[in-house]
Amino acid sequence: VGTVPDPTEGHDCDDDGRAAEDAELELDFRAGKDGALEAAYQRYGGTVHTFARRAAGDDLADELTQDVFVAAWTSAARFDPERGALGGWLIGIARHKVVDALRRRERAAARIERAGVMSASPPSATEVDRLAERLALGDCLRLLRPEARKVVELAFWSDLTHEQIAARTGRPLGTVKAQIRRSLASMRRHLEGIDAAS
Amino acid sequence: MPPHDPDELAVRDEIELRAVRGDVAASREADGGELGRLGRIVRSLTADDLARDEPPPAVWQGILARTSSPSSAGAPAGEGPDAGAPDADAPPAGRAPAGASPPAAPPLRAVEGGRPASGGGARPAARRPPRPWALAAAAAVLALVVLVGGVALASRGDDGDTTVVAAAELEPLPGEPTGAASPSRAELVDESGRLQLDLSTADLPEPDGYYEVWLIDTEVVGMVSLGPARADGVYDVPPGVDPAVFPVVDVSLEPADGVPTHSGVSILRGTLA
Repeated sequence: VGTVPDPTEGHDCDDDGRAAEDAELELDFRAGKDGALEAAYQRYGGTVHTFARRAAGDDLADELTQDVFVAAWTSAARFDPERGALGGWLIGIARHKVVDALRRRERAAARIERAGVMSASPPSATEVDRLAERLALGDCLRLLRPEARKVVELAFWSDLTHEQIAARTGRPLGTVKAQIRRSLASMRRHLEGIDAAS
Repeated sequence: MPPHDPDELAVRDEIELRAVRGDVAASREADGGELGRLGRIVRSLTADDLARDEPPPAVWQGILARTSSPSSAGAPAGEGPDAGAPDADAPPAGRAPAGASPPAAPPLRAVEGGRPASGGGARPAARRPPRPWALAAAAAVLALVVLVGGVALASRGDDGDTTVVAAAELEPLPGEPTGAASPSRAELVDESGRLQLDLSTADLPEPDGYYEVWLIDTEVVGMVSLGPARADGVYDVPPGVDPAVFPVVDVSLEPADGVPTHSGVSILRGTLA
């Protein structure tokens, strides 16, 4: 430890690199730059679709996913990285679209007096909110490289101290602490992003 | 941001670690409890929450189609209102449920009139947020619902029993495709005891489908259709419908799909006052 540069630090640069890449994507998206929509879709399209499917059902998932990205791109200039992460913001938009779609479906069903079409009761707005948070935070874990993810998992799911996590993962203490700090900041930003779309 | 003093930083790291693991006191000390909440959510994540769908390719193709061509903006592009701030005033977003429209997007339409949209050149896929209608103007878009209001105003003029009860300036919804270069206005008129809505709109682009006029309640839950847009701009308010209960005047873009509900694509909106 100490002053000898750790050979694995390079990996951590990857983490920083990823964070920098995220920041760049966010700025590009806001600016409406060519390619930013596609990059955002590649990164978060699966998450938005999963969210839409789990909250509103298979039949609406494709359409809602489209709606979310079209709406997000249309109002890209309103996205503010200061107020939260892009991933969270997209889920926040999806949340509104899902809630609207569910409400509309409920109304339509009531209107046509075909209450039977809803086999199960639709999720409540609160449940939809919870799911939005789970998936946003899930992304923060999911998109980490495996070594980094292990560190963050131990931070949440173990009782190990920073030193023990470092020992367990074979990573320097400073790296472990920095990784956890970064992840927590990213998770906070994702939650804020959801609210920023409200 | 964490403090720079290494000792302080170390303490801070400890507190945060305890906080996300459910130590209430630590969470309160860290940030008033937010980190504790975050930790609870993360620790409750299941494998399901980490698995992600791979959306069918048609989804991305549709997004591309709906965001790429300026002239496609008249199509369901710009879906969803004010995505940044869907608030109580937001219209029902998205389209009608139950497979009202296929997920596949409309095909890219050639720019009519052979003139490229301003700035966009002839790029087949200008992947930028559609700029509300700067583009459309150049795209030889037809003004369909041009209501100078002349007819309505004139007829009002020679009827002594006509009073304007309320009026609304209609604003384009952010991000929605409207050609609202000129102002749009709705007046609620009492015609000898019968309520009518006189609508004069800015030039709107030729719709892919048709425009429909609605009165909506402030919760944006209940709504009454006043029917497809009319050339004379005069709409009867159905008897019993109280404009005080449904004060929001809304012009939507409706696909001709036979679904009677609001498409969710609102073009203009204003509140009668």
